[in-house]
Amino acid sequence: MSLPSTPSITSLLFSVYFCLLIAALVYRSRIVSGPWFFLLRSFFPNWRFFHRVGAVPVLFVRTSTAEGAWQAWQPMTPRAQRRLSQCWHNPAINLALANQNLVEHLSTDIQALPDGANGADARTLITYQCVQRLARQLLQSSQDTHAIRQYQFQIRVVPAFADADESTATLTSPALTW
Amino acid sequence: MTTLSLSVRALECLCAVSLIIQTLEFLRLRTVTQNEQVWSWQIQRQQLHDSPRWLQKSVDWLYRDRVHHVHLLIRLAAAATLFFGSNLAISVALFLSTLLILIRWRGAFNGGSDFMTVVVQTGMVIAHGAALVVGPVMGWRAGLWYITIHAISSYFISGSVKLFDVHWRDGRALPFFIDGAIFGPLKPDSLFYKRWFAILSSWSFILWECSFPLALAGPTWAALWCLIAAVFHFLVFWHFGLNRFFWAWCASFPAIIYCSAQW
Repeated sequence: MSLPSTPSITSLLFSVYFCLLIAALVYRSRIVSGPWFFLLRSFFPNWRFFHRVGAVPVLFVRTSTAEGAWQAWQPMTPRAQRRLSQCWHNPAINLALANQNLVEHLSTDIQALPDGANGADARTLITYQCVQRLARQLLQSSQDTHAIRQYQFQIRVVPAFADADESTATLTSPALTW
Repeated sequence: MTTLSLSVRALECLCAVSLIIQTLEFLRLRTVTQNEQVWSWQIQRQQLHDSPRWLQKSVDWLYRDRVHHVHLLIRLAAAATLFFGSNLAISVALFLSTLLILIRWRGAFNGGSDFMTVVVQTGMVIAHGAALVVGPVMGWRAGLWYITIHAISSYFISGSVKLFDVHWRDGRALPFFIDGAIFGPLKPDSLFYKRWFAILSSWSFILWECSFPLALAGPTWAALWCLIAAVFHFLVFWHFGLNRFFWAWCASFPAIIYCSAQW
């Protein structure tokens, strides 16, 4: 009986590797977490892109004037115009996508907060503080801010194929002084 | 294309293009990382409150606005030198630079493209590091195989997870994601709302991604799969605005084509 040739051993090893990859996708293992692991997560890629149709966290904002009347909540879904040149230089859209990731991380962080009397204040979250600034910045770039006295932001987790009504809100900030 | 020297040159040049594009964008975004802005380091440094004091002080210095600006300019120059070839010092410097930038942007600025950029840069560090021990040929083979295995796994995993999801299989996921993307919403008469088109597009990409390991069957197969990949990444850019994905994955193609001819 002769030994298998090198290519067939290599093929076998590759087949085993891709079978193990599928097994790893089917059987979920423990999630490792920690601040440094989070910051260095690009070194442990998971390659799961657009893999699940699910609820999408959306940032909503509203403002009030000196009379105290609050305007309607506005969604701050990132939108832009497409240009071919963006293939080479695309800072604005990449920033908008990074900001949307921030909103999604805040949504995840809120869910991870402990409930009840010992529950942590969402305002201590890094993502909360960043999103608070993001809400203000988005208002500055989208409307005349002279009449604004207060503003407020809200995170709604909108189920797939559903409307973003207020019942989907998971966090509403206090009224913030402009 | 399958000679080692040509593959390495192609990899270095495409990696240079990818890093220069990324760095120029970071330079343009300098204002949003200033103290009163959304991505202020003063807020983000709270993440490291349990870290040793010396480490906190070091990163505080590194992320000062001026220091970070100089860092980006040095990175730009280092990336440009890749057009003339790479060495261990430049590869390690670019790798560490990427590490610092990712920490500055809370671990990832642009998700998948950051992952693939790190993979290609790690492959280059492996190549030059291993070359010190086993020589440049074996060193580069190790680096290119590292990149190839990650790149092929990226397509295979990305396709497989879609295969497990009913919304991808029945064609509803594709219009859902494109409608919610940066260039959305889709027009009501969009082709993506036609069931047959959505199913056909979804299954075409799922089957192509899942079959990506076949690219290792030979250089012609690898070139064909990489060509389809380039079209795929361009479409991802066109519909989702993800330009960095296009360049980050293009940088891995020379490695895939080289390795496909090695067995």
